[in-house]
Amino acid sequence: MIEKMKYINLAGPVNEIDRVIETYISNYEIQLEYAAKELYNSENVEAFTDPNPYVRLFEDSKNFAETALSYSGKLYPIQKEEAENIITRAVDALDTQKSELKKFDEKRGEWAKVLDVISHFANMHFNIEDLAKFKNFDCVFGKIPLSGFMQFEAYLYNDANILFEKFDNDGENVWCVYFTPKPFREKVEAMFSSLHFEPVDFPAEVGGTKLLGTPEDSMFILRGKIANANSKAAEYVEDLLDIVGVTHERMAAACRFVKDMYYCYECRKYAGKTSYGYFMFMGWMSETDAAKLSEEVDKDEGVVLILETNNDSILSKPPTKLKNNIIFRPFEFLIRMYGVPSYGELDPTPLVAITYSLFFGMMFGDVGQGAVLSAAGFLLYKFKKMALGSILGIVGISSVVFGFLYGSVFGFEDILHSHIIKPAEDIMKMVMFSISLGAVTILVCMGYSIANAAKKKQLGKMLFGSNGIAGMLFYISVIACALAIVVFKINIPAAVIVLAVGLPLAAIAFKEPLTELVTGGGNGRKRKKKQKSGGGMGAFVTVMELVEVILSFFTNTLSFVRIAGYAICHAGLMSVVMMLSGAENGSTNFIGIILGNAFVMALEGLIVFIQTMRLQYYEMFSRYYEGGGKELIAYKDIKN
Amino acid sequence: MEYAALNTKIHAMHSRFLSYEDFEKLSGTKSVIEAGRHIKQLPGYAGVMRNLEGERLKRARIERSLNLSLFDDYMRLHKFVTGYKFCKFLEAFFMDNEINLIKIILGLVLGERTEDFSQEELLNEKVSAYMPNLSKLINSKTISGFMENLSGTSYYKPLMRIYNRDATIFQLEMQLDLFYYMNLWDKRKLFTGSERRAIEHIIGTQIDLRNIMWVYRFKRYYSFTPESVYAFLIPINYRLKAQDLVNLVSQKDLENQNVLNKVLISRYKNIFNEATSLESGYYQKMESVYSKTFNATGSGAVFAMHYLFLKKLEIDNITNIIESVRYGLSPQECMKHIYYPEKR
Repeated sequence: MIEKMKYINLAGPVNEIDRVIETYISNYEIQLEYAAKELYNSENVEAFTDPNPYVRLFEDSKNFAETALSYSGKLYPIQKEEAENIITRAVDALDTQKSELKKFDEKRGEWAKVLDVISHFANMHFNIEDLAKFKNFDCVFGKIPLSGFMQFEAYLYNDANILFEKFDNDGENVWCVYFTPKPFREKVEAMFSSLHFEPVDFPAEVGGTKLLGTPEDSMFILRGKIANANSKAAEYVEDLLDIVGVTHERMAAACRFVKDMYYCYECRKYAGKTSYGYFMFMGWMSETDAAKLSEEVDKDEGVVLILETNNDSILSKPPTKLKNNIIFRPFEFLIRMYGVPSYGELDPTPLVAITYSLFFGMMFGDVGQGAVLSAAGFLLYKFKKMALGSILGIVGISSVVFGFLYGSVFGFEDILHSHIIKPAEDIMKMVMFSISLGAVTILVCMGYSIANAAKKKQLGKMLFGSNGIAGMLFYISVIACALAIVVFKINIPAAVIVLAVGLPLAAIAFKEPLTELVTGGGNGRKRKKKQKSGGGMGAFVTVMELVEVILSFFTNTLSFVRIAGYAICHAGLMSVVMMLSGAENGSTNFIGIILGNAFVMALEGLIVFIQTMRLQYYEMFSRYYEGGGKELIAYKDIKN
Repeated sequence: MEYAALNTKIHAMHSRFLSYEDFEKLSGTKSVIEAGRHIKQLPGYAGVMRNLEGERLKRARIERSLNLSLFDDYMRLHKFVTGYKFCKFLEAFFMDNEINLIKIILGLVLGERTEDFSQEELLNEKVSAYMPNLSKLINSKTISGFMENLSGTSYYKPLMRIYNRDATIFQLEMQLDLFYYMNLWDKRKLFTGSERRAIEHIIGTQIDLRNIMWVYRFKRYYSFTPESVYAFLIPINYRLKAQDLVNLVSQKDLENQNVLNKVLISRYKNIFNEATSLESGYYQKMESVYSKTFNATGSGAVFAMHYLFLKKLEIDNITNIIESVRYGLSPQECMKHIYYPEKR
């Protein structure tokens, strides 16, 4: 389930701001938005621009962060003066004794700056080096102030010599890249620089390590380098406390105090200040949390909480917060890997959890191996905190269940005397069942897609989309006709078939004009102009799209054969293990059986895991999943 | 009814506009000083011209003083404005005059435009009442001090955005203009229904015309390269298609009026014909837009905007006549350089 979000305004007199940050913002899951950005163009609200007085102290205290963290006892309260005193003294000692630390500091600062720039391009999934290698094109990364960006968008977006892509908008600048053919480079460059575009350079290496690949790769490398430097610096600090003569507890308390105060001031940057001496925080939180907060704030005289009733007028998009029960929750990992669902979408987690376990179990049905996988998965989760581990644990259980159905334990088919079906023997049944399961799954996915479109009020997509009601009707008609003719041997008049299959297809083909018809097409000015394509070209594109739709239904359904395939393959592989270890002649070699089982478990476990994922991402997600959401990032989590 | 008091006030202020005969008399003067003395007797400008005597009656000074009278009128109007939204909107609408003042000060601070200029001239009591931080701003010693003194105003953010990137004074000035129009365009949302459409029509037309005029000037008088023009266009298109403007920018020869008309295939086709200058084409179009929208809606907001527009037109006309007088043109020639709307 995707939690309902509420947009909140938390306001009060400026002198209360610290208390509000401490009591509410640090304790509730609120994703703060920059008030100055939210209230764009409002003159009466400005951002808190006073510099953070704890910047220096906080930076200094980072030298001792690891030391402070390693203290696990109780911390006693500390005053500002004492904290300042302790940290300054310790830093002085550091300065005099360990000049090497400075080197770390400088490097860290430099890397952090590079990291900051690169992180604006995080969602670009191309290799930066490759982009620079084009023969006829130049590519320039940079930032452009908002006003310049708007001018560009209004007048130059369609310029044939510029390919422009925007990556991030931080409220002041738009971070972007443009491509231009080399002969036009000078002109385009002049144009961009007049719009106050500032190119940025990605350094080829930092501190002797090459930055390779996509921005995300570079970010990973940089974070690693920074963490490395941090830990090295921490080693120097270890024995410093003794020199300064501060107890471990006092140091930890001072560090925590400074950190709290630093983030308290940092948090102000999100707030807006009105000319009447009031501050205002704006942000998103889940409805349940908002209700709780509202109750608490009601008792508080100085502070006001306003819950927005209509999210449509809000500038920022609501973030997504997934909430699922303990069995489904691990599967959120698979969804995050693909991309977080957008706020208005149905949460695909339950569907993914159920189908994933089902498919995995069917492909890998074995009581013994399933139990081992499950145990290994849960252990991994418990000790290594691996999200993948808990998924493995759950699908392992499903595998045990199917093991009972198949009557298979570690490849021995005769220990359990009862079984429902033997994959290796009833091949046809398995294949038919997998395909039917696939058809049902595809129908469910289309149901999700229709529900999503309905939720987002995309009438055209819901009615005439290839995954909408038209697509569903088409699919059902095809299956029904096929069943009637092949299985039940009923003669259906050709006209009926043509009508049942053709009508939905026609609806898909003429989706756009039909959509206009249904929505009235009235507010002409608001609608974006459609790209006009010539008659012949347009018809060709439509026909190709239809062919693609029909083919994808066909291939996606058939694709589910792999479920039967791997179930049979599993049985086959195990019988080979049995044969090689001599179980069939009666002289069983147990070492062979154990090794064989381990080999099959590792190989097949991996393959089945991947194949199931493929079914999810390719056959299923492509039908209903939209994604493009952003997860809720609570301020209190940023702090920690 | 919400505008009743304001409407009455504006009607009264309309009586102080110069008649066609007044302009004719002014154009009959022989020198700038004589013209200046003449203007000092007009009820609309006596106040702001009070301090200008003899030697000080120079063209540039008269022009600046006339412009200051706009603040005078605005403050009078402002007292009768009721309602938060209307008030906010009118402030945004009038901001361009404040921006002009800031541009003058910016020139002063940078020492690029010294001319014959005294600070007291700007420190008119009416203007100071309108802009409390004026004297602080004038006394800025350096550009960074100037920026600091601007902080807290709505100009600070847009200026700071490009000031940090070594912008020239010209770029800073254009940024202020950009800010004015984008802010004004945004503020139209304060109104609803037919009033909003009327205001949208006025501002939209003004923005379209501004864009055309700027492109024309940049290319013709400043010979900017096409690439550098875009930085000065307002990123708003009302009825002028962005593509038309792009075509205009990429046009080589703007001398020829036919080219201008051919490029502007939209509804602004025949505004700039050979008989009139760019400015009077602009005033003519805007005047017709104002009268039509006011007749259609009867909106007090439009009425107030129209008044300020006419006042600015009048000041422009007077300035043009003084200019013509300075060059010794005949009264008939002088009158050719002004645009006087037929009917008020």
